[in-house]
Amino acid sequence: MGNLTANLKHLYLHRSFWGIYAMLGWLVLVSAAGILDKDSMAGQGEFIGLVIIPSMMGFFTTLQQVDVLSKPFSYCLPGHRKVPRNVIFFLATVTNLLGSVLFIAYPDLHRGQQVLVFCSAFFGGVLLFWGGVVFAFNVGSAARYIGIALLSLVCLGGQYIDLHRIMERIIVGHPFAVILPSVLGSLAAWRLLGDPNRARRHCGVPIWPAIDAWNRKKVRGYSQARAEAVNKKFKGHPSPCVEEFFLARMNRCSYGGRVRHIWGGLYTTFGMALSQWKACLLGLFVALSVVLFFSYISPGATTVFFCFAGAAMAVHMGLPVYGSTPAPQGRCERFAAAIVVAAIIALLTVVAMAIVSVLSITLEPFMPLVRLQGSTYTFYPANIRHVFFPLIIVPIVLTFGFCFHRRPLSARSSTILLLAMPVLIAMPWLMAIVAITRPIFLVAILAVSWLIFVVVLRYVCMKRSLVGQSRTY
Amino acid sequence: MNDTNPIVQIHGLSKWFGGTDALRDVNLDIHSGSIIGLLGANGAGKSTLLRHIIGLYLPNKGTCVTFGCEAGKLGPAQLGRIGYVHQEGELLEWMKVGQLIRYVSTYYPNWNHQLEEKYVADYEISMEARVGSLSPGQRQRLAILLAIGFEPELLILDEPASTLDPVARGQFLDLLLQIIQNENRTIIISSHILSDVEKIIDHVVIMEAGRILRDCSFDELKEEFHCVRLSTLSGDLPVNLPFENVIQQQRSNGQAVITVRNTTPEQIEQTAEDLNCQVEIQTLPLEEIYKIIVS
Repeated sequence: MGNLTANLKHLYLHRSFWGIYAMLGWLVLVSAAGILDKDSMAGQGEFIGLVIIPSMMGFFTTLQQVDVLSKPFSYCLPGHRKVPRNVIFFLATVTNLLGSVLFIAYPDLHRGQQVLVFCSAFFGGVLLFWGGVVFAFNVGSAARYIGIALLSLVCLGGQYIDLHRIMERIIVGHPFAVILPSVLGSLAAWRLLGDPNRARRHCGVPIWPAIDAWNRKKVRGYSQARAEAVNKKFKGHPSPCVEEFFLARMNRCSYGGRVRHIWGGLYTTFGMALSQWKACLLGLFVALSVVLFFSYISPGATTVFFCFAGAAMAVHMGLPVYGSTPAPQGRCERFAAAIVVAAIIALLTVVAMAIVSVLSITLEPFMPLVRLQGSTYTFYPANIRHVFFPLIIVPIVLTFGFCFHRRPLSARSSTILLLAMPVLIAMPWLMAIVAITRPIFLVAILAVSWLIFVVVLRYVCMKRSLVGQSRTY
Repeated sequence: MNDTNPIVQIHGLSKWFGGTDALRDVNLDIHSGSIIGLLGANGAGKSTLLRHIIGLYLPNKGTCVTFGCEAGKLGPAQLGRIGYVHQEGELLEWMKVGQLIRYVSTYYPNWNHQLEEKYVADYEISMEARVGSLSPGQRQRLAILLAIGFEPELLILDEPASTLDPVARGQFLDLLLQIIQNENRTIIISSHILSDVEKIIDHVVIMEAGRILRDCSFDELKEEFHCVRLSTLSGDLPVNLPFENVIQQQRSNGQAVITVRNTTPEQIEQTAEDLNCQVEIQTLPLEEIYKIIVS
């Protein structure tokens, strides 16, 4: 078995990839079915799907190769220096060959044009593949946030400027404008990936555990490797006044009482965030900006956004149930602290949503009509009556989170996916809930969601093992 | 050792995780004032057993009672008397060391600030460092401080020295020796560094595959095994040496080294005399005894 084959085997041996394959497989099916199912028209952007997918393959496979490079044992493997380049180029070739196959069915092209368009699609995909590779090599730095923001902007905003049509037209209409930069990019990639110092640079340097989020040791190793950077970023936090505030309240309570442990739970959950209140205010401002943007798209945008935000906060902060931090907390004390923390997370989300909703309503008379690509977009202010929806979502998310108490990063991604699914399939159930405004139904759903949460929490606290992933934020 | 009711009583304890039996019908009583070495291979069930004592795990079968309270009902009153050093040493990463110490000490009315200051100085712990940036050895030292700072009645140490360098290990042992001066203090130490453990323990519990193989005093265990060095005074040693309960034997150049079990020194000396041999009897180190028991 050669080096290349041995490394390609990682693609199916590495279980973290299986979820990615499922997602990519679904995208491939949707893209292909959309064309094969009916007579496709030229220039409508229907063929571009499979050309975009290789960028994700480029990202994940490069991450996987960097992961191998970061392991000291690989530095000593004979013949391994060229392996990352060979693997990446092999996959770039194979995935883009497959991705550009659809362009053979492009309508109204004679044989010669078909070959040229096929090549153009191939090289266009390769260019996007290199984009994914570059992102993967920079994922450990702050550049990843820029990359994620750009990607989100392209995914969300691209449809409004018909980005898919533009890309297809460029590939079909201007093949050499695609092929030339792609060839140059490939030559540069060949040179850079073959740099003999690359292995030395990556050896022993933990990478951002994007594909192994379930691996606690890897996550901790990465955090420790970045400890100095984190130390600098959080210098002075949590601030002494925040510490004093919580410890003073704890000291007022009796040693055996639950209230002391409740205050302890609040300190460990919110201490750091409270200390960085300026960042929280900035977050609120960003939330307002995002909401104002999305309010042009949908009337329920504010509600959906804050349901996501509340869910994300709940999953990220977690509850003071698990973990072995040395404090004499019995199971009853953990239960009490967890309920209070959950309630405060939900209330904070409601307060934030209320503030943003009021601002949105206040700004409504001043928000202009937006005309884009022949469509007119009206600003929909937030519905203040929906401000209680996070109170329903947060306990559901926290209950769901108990399934992933050993894998908090999986919990985050799974929860976001759980909420994102309705968005991906035109939000039927979430909008159905949003449409409910009669108080009695809202109160009933609220009561049921909290009742389920409290019952599950009590079961976990009283009957289950409490050894698990402690919060590491 | 205090002969009153045990502070920890474990009866018929079984615990499984999915299809894996972590503990099988474990019975163990821990008396106040004893210093117990809990020994076993990786996966033997030591950490699982210790976690039952502090209520992190609940038994599937049987009972575990600590300070008169069942595992599932342990509250601050009981847990405030137990110091626990966790094997994985999970701490609040985002706090500074000083903040974490102040936070934990808030829970204990009898936190000894002098002991804390002395420990911080001896172990050169930086109060301003962030917990998440500490090396594994520094984290372990901090975890030990948090467990002993309130002078607990029951101290549970799960692999406390695994990440400590030899100097720090020596300091830690000295600290333990100071702690055990208090006769009412009970220590359970689970460690793979048996040469350190045997300096302080007086009771041994050996586990294998979720069961307890031996539960006896350390003196009793030491007296059970002997290493016998035989040197012939004249001629060759006989081919078959007439010792009973021989576990292993090595011979070379008119000498033999034999490990025997359940044979008193008097019996060994008598047999050596009969063979006209010079004999030297030594007790086995704990590591050798452990290997014999589990093999």
